Amino acid sequence: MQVHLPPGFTPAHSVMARRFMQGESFSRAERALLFEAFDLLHRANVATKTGRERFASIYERLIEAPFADDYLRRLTEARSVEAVAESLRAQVSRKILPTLSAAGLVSPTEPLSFYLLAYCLYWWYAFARGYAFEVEVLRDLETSGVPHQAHNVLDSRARRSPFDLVVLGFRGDIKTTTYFLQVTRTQRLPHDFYITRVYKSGKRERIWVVLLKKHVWEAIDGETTSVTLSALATALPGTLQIEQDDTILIVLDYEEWKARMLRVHKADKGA
Amino acid sequence: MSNKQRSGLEALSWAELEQAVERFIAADGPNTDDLPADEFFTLWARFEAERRRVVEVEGEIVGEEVHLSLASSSLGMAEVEGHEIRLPDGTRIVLHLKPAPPAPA
Repeated sequence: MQVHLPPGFTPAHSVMARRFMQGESFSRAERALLFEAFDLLHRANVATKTGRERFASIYERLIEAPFADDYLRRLTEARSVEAVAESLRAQVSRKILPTLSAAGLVSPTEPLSFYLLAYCLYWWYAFARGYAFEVEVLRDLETSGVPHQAHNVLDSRARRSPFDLVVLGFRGDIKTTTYFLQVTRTQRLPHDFYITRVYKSGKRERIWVVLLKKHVWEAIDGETTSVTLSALATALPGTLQIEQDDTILIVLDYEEWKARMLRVHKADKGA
Repeated sequence: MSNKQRSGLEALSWAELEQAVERFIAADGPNTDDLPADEFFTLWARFEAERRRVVEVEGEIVGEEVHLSLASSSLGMAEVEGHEIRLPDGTRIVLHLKPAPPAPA
């Protein structure tokens, strides 16, 4: 077995992968390099007697396909997602090294295979944490009576839909901040709105926020305060408008967004 | 700084790797989950700006020819005419097609 790392994967990326595995924290510049490292590793491959297989395909075949459905079923059946999510993702994480070793894809005789292990852990945590957040949000929308259609997270084909939910005809995604950034690093924001959560500056408190494109905000109307990106973090929560080149985003508190969506829905029904 | 701190995962022994995995899982995975608001929005702005430096060109195979055009994400960032892409700094990128090698019998 031999591992081939992709062209462009530099020693700096290698250091990020090791530091990720060793639980270190990252500066802003390093975090961008970390995202880049794990994007590049999609194209790494393992050559065995039976042929070559990309890391992305191995992760899909040996980790996500066998473990994801059960993880999500148990998550959705739990009374409190927050209470069980950590132990459920750890149960799968503990199977990753034995699974890859048994398949002959991670071995002490090929140290570059350690990158496959790091890759699978990275994307498993992105998947597991992302869906734990999504299930929490979807439950909350249900409880709050916000009309929406969401993809079925228990159906692996539905999970591949390009967007997670539709609210009042607008398409949206629910993402943790790191995964949101991982995607926007290489793609424009394709959807109308995004639900995510951030830490409020200087505090351990996490807040849920919604990022809306301007046309969605115009449909639910309201006043905003224009802020610069650097001032945005301290201005939260509020209803804020940020402009980056030709992209305008409205950032508002999740509870405020729900209240506005409910108002528009009631007005539509009454019309 | 030691050599190990400058090195990648291959610098770890198998035992060190197994220990790292166990600590990683015990800590509930990476220290890269949700970000502080200021860091999140700063990185988002940086990625938006960086992405704008990419010019995307689409090619459509029509008969034995490739028809090039600018992707909608890159309108106004370059000019495309025939097999030539002209960048604002004057750089010209010209696509030359080679005939495919004969298929093996």
